[in-house]
Amino acid sequence: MKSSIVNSERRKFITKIGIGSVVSTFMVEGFGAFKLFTGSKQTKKNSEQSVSITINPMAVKRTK
Amino acid sequence: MANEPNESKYWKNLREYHNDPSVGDDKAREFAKGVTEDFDVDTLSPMSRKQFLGALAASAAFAAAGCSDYRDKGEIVPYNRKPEEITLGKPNFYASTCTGCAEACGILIKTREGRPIKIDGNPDHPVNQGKICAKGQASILNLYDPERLKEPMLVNSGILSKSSWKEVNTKIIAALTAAVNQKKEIALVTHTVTSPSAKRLLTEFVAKYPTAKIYSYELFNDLNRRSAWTKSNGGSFPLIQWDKAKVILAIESDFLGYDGNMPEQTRMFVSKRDVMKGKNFHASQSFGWNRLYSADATMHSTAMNADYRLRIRPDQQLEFVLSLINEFKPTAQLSKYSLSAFAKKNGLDEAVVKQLASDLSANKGAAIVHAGSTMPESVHIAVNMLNELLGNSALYRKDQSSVEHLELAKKEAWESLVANMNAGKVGVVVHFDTNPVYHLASDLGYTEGLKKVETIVTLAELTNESAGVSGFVLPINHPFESWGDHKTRTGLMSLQQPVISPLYDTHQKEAILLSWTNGNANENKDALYHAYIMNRWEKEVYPALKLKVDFKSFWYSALHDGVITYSEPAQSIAGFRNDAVKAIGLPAVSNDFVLYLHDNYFVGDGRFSNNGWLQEMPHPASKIAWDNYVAISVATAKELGAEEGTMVEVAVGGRSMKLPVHVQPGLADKFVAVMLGYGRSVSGSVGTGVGFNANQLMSKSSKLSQWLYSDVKVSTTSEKYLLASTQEHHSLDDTFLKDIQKKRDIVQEGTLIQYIDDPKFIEKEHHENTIVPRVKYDGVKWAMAIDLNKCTGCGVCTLSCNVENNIPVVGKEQVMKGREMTWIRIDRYFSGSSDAPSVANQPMMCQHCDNAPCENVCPVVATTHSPDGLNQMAYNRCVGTKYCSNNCPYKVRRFNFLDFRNEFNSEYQYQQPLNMMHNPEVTVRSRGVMEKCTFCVQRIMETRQHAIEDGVEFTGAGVTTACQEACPAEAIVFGNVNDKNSTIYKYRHHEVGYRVLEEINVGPNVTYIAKLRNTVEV
Repeated sequence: MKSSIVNSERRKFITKIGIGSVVSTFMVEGFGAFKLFTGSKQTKKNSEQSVSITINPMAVKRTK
Repeated sequence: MANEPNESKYWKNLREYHNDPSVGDDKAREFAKGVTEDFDVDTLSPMSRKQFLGALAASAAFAAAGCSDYRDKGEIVPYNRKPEEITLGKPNFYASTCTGCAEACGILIKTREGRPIKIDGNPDHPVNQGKICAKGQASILNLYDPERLKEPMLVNSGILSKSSWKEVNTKIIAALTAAVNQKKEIALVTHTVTSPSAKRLLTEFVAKYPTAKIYSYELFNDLNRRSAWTKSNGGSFPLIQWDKAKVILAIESDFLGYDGNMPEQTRMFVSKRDVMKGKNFHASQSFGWNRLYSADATMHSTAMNADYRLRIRPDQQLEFVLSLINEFKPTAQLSKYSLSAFAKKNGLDEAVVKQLASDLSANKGAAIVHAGSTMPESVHIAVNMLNELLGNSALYRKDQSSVEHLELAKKEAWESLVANMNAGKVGVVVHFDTNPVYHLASDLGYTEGLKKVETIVTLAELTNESAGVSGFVLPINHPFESWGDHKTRTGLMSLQQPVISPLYDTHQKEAILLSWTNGNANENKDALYHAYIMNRWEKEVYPALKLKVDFKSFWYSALHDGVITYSEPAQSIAGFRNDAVKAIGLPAVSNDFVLYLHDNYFVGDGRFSNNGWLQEMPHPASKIAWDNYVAISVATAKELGAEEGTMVEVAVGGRSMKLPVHVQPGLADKFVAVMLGYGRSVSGSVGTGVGFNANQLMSKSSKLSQWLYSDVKVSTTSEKYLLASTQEHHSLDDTFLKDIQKKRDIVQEGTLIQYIDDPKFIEKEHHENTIVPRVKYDGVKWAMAIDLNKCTGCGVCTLSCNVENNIPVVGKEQVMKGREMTWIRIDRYFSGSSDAPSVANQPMMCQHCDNAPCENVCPVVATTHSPDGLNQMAYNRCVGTKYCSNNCPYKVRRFNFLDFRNEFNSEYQYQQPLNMMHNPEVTVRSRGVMEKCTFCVQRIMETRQHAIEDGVEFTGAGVTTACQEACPAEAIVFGNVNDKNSTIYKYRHHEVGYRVLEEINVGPNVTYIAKLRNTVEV
């Protein structure tokens, strides 16, 4: 396939950028130690809502 | 010459020192080797610099784009139908009553979006007047404790398994009925009953099950004081007007700590310690300022705040009081008790003893002698006699008296119960939110007796030792989920209302009892008890008040206020009966050590042991957290060959246990003191195994009292134990650190007489050591003042700050590394000799310095100064260099070395529903950021916002910090120092006001009022 980018130097440059971005994205997403640092356990904890808060309708509020 | 030492003055390296020839070549060459020589282009990398930078930038850009935001923002689900009571972002307040102890203080519960998040005192409650103790402040954590019991359980084939309310109630009602039919006792064990409605319910329960008996107890109680008063005067012990007393003699009485209603007593005591109330305290006028003598062996809060202290062991107190009586009214009976001989024999300062006698004599009718609850009955009778002699009954309150709904069970009743249990005559035992297996003395045999009981039911919020031996474990509502009414004084009743529906499948304990009383296992229980209370109020309370409004209006008004007051006659106070003298036994001085088992300030009788905040609060004197210990004096430690952390064996009456030593300056010699409430074997994961269970040293029989034992043996072992202390405690021995607070004027103190003679006696530094003009704050400028005369070191401010600002619990290990995260700490300083030191307490938080040394050194400008004088912290800028903390001379910055919520107790603080406790107005900090006191900037912003909404000028009035709001002594003042009419302005410019380390020119904005001791010596 003929590339639309005529200038070979520019073509090589953009190719390198594209490959670099794909590689770095995989590295970031797949890197286990990074996940540890981000404390992703926190995400799991906070999304588990095990109790519900219900105001007692008979309680009478006041000003401070 | 090579290798001959260089004789010039300075040398940079050893080559130069030895005159190596290479040094000369280095000096001759301008550039290092390899920099200027020609290079070969073909050997260079094919990628140009431009290409490399381009690839690097692209990678970085895509890596950043690929990063997910790890911080869980949670899910925000909008209301489908918003409850009327809730305005998002605005708090609601509800009045209720604290049930953490038998004082039943009025509280205000602050809620956000339906979640209680902060507890403070109810300002309308006449007893505590807007203040509560540390336990009350931290009790919010108990509501959200993830380890609360969530559903009823029963034992099936030896295994505790989940059940349903219908099943457990059906079985329990059947067991109760069977017990009655078999004429077997039903024992219901409860704590102090402060609720008239609960009392009536118990009466109805007994009527329904006629073999039922109610046993009421407290681990720490005032039975001795009450029985002594009954014998000497009759009736119940009167309330005391502490605010009218000019001289107070506390006989092992920690009335500023855990003995009695601490908020009320503290407020009353410090009302006569106010530097703002003018100088009407000339010594010759018998001073408007009070003078506190503490005759004690333990370094408790009251002892630490005393003007004069007499180190007297508990077994010597009776002789001391009898000597005082003989001093004022010599009789033949008491002739052998001489005050001067007593002082000499026990190594007391005779001048102080003489001064005490003189003060008591000069202030007849305006002094009070108060014995602590743990003192034997004899001491109380003698103290009553002394007060009568001195006319001090004038200080007993005639307008109000305390109310007791159900007498506490005495030793004989317990012995009878255990005997019945062993004989198989007890069919059912109900632990009504009590833990007698842990609390009662082991030689009573209660736990052994339980094995013979067929049905054991424990009602509790959290599992405990009693639940561990029960066949039924029923989860109950937290007090904030419960209805109740409380009456502890005449003419006063407070209401308790649930501000939140139960988080789990729990029921209120009174409601459970009501369903058993009604014999119906299917009832909707909580609404039933609500109706029960309303019914009683409508039939009994409301008619007696003869109000013009209808009952419903009255009821809702009472719930709104939280408390009602009405006219009710107090009990009349009879004089001392002389025949009561016969009940005073002879003093029995110990031949060996004396052991004192005493209350603690934070975990109570153990019921708060699973509360991490309270466990992490350091003891006011020892500054030890997460443990109890055996406190001994310096001289005793030397005699035993023990040092800090040495394990010693304490043996009394055939019972013994090992405890770690804490060497406490100021303790009496041949005396050991241990706090109870620790060493829980069955509690939550936070409280289990913390400390040592000294309840096992208790006995049902003691020569002195349930908490005092004589002829105790103490022996050293070779074992060691690490205690976590938040403050170094060797300052008295370290030459550099000794009295450092005085050398550096960190704590400035003097005497009242010094102040009267020369009001400007304290050292002040007003150097303007700056070459740049000071920043002028034209609008609001925030400042704080702390009156060291009022501060008792109770620590309520710390707990309040913890709750308000989402401070994490770090655990014992981290406290040992100095990583506790409290933003305000109470520094405790000793001065003088280690045997009888003077103590000064000083709350220390961020001083919000005008010339803050922390702000200049932050490499990322995470800490800045606001236009209204606050030292600010931007958590998301902070990269954790800790340079700011390094530079802070007050060491008030706290660094999150770890994500403590993650690290402590296996992510305990991340468990549901603890996150609901967080104050939504304050950031929850994670690892790697610095934090510190913000002067409650969220409260400042809230008040500022109201001013903007109302279109009024924001002058700074109405802003209170959490610590200020909580302080029972009102020792903390905060506000706009630019407002000349404000209280803070007066404190800032007070003649005995000073700032800590003022001379280093950082410009701190916290003024401390120097401590003035009311002593005769200058």
